[in-house]
Amino acid sequence: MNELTKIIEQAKADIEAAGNVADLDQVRIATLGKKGSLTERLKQLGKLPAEERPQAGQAINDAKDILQEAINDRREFLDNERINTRIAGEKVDVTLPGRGEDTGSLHPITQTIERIESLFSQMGFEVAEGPEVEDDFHNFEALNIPAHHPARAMHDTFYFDENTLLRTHTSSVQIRFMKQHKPPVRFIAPGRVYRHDSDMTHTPMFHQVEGLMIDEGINFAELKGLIINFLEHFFEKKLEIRFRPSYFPFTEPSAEVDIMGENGWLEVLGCGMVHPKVLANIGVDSERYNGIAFGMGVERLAMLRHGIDDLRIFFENDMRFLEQFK
Amino acid sequence: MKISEQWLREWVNPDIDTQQLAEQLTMAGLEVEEIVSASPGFSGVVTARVDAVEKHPDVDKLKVCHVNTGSGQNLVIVCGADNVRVGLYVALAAVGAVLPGNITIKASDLKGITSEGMLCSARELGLAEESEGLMELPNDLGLGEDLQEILSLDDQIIDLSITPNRGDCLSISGVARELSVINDCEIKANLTEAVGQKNQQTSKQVNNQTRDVVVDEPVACPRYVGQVIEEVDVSGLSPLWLTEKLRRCGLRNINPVVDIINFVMLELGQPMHAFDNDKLQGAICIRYAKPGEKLKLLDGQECTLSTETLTIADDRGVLAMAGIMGGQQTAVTEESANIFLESAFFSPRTILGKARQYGLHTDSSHRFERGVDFEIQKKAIERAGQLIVDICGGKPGPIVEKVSEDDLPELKQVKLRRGQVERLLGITFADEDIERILSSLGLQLESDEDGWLVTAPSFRFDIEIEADLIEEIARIYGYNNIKTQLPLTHLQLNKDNELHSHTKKMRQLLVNRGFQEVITYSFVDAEMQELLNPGVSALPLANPIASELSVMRTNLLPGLLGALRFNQKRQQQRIRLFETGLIFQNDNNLSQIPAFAGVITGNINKNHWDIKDRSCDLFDLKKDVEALFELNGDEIGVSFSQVEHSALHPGQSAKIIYENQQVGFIGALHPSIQKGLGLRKEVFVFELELRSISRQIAAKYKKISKYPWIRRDLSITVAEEITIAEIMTLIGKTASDVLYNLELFDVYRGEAIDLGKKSLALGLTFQRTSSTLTDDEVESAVGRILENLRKEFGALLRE
Repeated sequence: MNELTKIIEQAKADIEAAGNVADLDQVRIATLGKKGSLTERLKQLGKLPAEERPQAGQAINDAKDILQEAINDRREFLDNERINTRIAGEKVDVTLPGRGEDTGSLHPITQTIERIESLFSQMGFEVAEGPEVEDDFHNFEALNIPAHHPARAMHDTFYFDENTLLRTHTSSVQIRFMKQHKPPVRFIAPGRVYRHDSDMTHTPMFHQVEGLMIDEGINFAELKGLIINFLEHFFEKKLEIRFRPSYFPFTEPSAEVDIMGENGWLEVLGCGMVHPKVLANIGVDSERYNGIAFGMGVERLAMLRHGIDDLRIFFENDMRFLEQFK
Repeated sequence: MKISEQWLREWVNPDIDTQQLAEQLTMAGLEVEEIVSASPGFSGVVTARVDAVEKHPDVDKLKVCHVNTGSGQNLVIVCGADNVRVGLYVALAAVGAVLPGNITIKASDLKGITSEGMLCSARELGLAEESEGLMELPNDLGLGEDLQEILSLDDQIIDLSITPNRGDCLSISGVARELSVINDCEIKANLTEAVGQKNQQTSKQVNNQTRDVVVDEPVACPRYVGQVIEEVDVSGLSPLWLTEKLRRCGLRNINPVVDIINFVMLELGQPMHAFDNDKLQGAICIRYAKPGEKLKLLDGQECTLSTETLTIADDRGVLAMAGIMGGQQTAVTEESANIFLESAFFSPRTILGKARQYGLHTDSSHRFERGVDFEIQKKAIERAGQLIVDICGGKPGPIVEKVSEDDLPELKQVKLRRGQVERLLGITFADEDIERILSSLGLQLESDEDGWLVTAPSFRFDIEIEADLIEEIARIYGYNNIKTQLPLTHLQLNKDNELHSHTKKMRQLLVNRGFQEVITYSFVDAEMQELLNPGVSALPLANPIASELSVMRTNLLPGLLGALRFNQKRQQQRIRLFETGLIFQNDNNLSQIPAFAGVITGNINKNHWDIKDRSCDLFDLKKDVEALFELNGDEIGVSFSQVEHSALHPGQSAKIIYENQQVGFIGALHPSIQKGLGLRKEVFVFELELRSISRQIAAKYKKISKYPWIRRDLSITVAEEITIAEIMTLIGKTASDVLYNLELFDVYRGEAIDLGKKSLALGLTFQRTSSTLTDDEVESAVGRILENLRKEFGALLRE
């Protein structure tokens, strides 16, 4: 038995001394392998007297278990040590910037239009588009603005010839859309519009979103409800809003809508009940249907929402400006 | 339109402050844009009298004045004005007084004489834009009185934005009418007293001088009222109260007669004209201009009149553009002694657009275009005549009126149905409320079984239909008092607008790939556009805002390259931009085409600590374009083929083909254009026409093979002119039954490859969905591929 103890002690010492998995394997093979010292002793059990065999066998098996456990422990230790070493060598500065393409951004005007679209689409408004080079009929005549009407003076118009112009508002889309549709309808028409005006607070091109809803029984109280509902969701807060009488040839009654800003009332959109002449021009029976229409300046809404104080910066396309609107 | 609050309150004076008054006007549809003080900002300026004037001992132009301020001690003031004289009442800014611009008056030495202050001109006081000599004050004023108080400068100037439908509010009386309705208070009937009369003794005198008036065009001019006033004195100055009222309403003073008719226009809304009666010959005739007739206007401009222009003429020719502007020849001047006053109603239709035609816009045309009360002409001329006699003296002749009753506008009658008020507004009104509101506005109501027959007054040109009356009810009731409710409607889903939703996806995709969206003007420089899209006709604007923005863009390149250049000038090295919008091609017919274009330049990556950088090239941008087409979910996809485009590099430009149709282009900007634009590095551009590509095809599911795949790599050499696309297409066709994927993983030229050839490394993946492929099957497919490549393109397998 002394010899067995010696083997165990020796093997234990070897296991502790094994500096890596390969060395540890050598120790395992030398003791527990096919030709290992303990295996050899098992083989020689037969040579012992029968009555000693069980006890001796038991002792050897116990020794095997002890060694196997020692090996496992040592292996686990070595594995951990190896991982720890690797970890220590793999430390990085996690504050280094990541790799790959930065995302760009949509122009704030586009983002504002998309925001307006998404809000109105919740109420079933579809998106309509129309040409930017328009004729006099769709931009003016059909909207109850005949030639020489004083309201034309409010629209400094770009002309190509007597009858062809750049649309001065997206209201022209009303007429084109209604040629293709029958009431009830709900749509908004975002897009570029043009006025012959350029100074600190005017650019010759800007954006509007026109809206039209035609249905039976719709009225001014509901127009107010719709606009307030929209504005409070657009600006994501309760607002002080006022409707005041105004004039558009294509609506009657007409209203301008102001919201209370930091420095007083700010005009944000125009709206009204569609003028019966316009309803007639788009083939809608004004005795049966009413229409509500509204139009808003996208730049103004974008400026208010994002705190932009310079209209002209929208069309300079300075990347230092654009990148701010991710 | 600017109005003086004081003047307005002379007409109607509700017990509210300026802010409340402004709020009321705004909420009634007469938007107050601005309120500014009527005081130009001087203080300490007092009335004084010049008691003695001596020559300055050393300077000829200067005078030494002894000025009496009523305090018993005269001040010595050195003054250079020509009109300084003994007895003159002047505005004195003594030491310590402050003039506009925050200028504090100090005693100053003027060539040896100490001046204890300054005598002021109207301009120096901020009371006129220009003035000659000292401001002359009436000689009935006390001395040492504060000029602020004398001129009642404790007043506000209210700037109103009057919408085109409310011509009736382009006067003090019109605004007062609105204010009286809102506040339910009376308009005071008394008109401003003409204080400071010069020649009261003559004001009762009359004569019987008249001038004949012949109205050839009664439709255009249904009413014409004229009056001769003789022996007027126009050489004097208009009284202070008059010039101050005019100033506060934004008009400058000219001479007393012109000032008075301007005053009456502001007061009553009736534009008038005064002629020098001695320069007229024969009868006044209201007629259209004859071909080629010319008129030199008051402002000195000479116009050749169109035959649609209504004129005032006499025997010798045209005197004035009716309702727009008078002529210089017959204008009333300081020398005029006898005048002929005109107060007429010209129909809006006659005047509409005419002033604009000559590049004019006058206070008169502004009012006539919108409609002037057609019953006020006589009242206005009486008012003006009285003021002229009071201020300038003179003997008024009888008022001559030519009227064609049939051609005067009819008082409009509009039917108002009770139920329509609620139908349009969503609220119910009691009958008596409707009646009270409308009649307070001067409308006359006659009730019938289902509502009222409403007659509009002569000053309202905007009441034409039932909705106009309903708006009046809502306006006076207050828009803000109308309840708010959400719309009730018929719900339905909408058809997807594919162009719109697809464009949105494309935009988002490029944003995710690091592009910035830009929005540039749709009008561009004509030359630049021609350079960037030669041969495509651009639509020119008749009235461009600037010469470099004179045509509509025919592609998106001018705007994108402009934005690129703008950013490059601001030290941006790496630029990736795109824009979407309409382009306008004017060949035969105008096409307005939705387009999508992008541009890149500079390094492919931002500077990074661990990425080796390089300049971007065509294939970087090509992948962006390919990614855009992947959105379509379409197997066939997109193809590219070499194309000549004179804006692009001849060796690096391709047309983009989708469904057998050219839908765009991609390429490197032509090096000479790049240089011409001052762009530092190569620029790569693409443009797509959106209508042909905006579709998303529902993806069709293909079974995923359960069987293993086998890969073979081939390296072949082939002549340079054979394109990769040709080779890939041929391989695909040859082994379509077993080929699962094909990729090109190397292109090599140089050592071991003959000049004019290139070596391609291709990775072929074979797989079938129904069964495992055998090596034999794969070998056979590879064999067929190599054979076809050799036959078609002379391609050889590299050993």
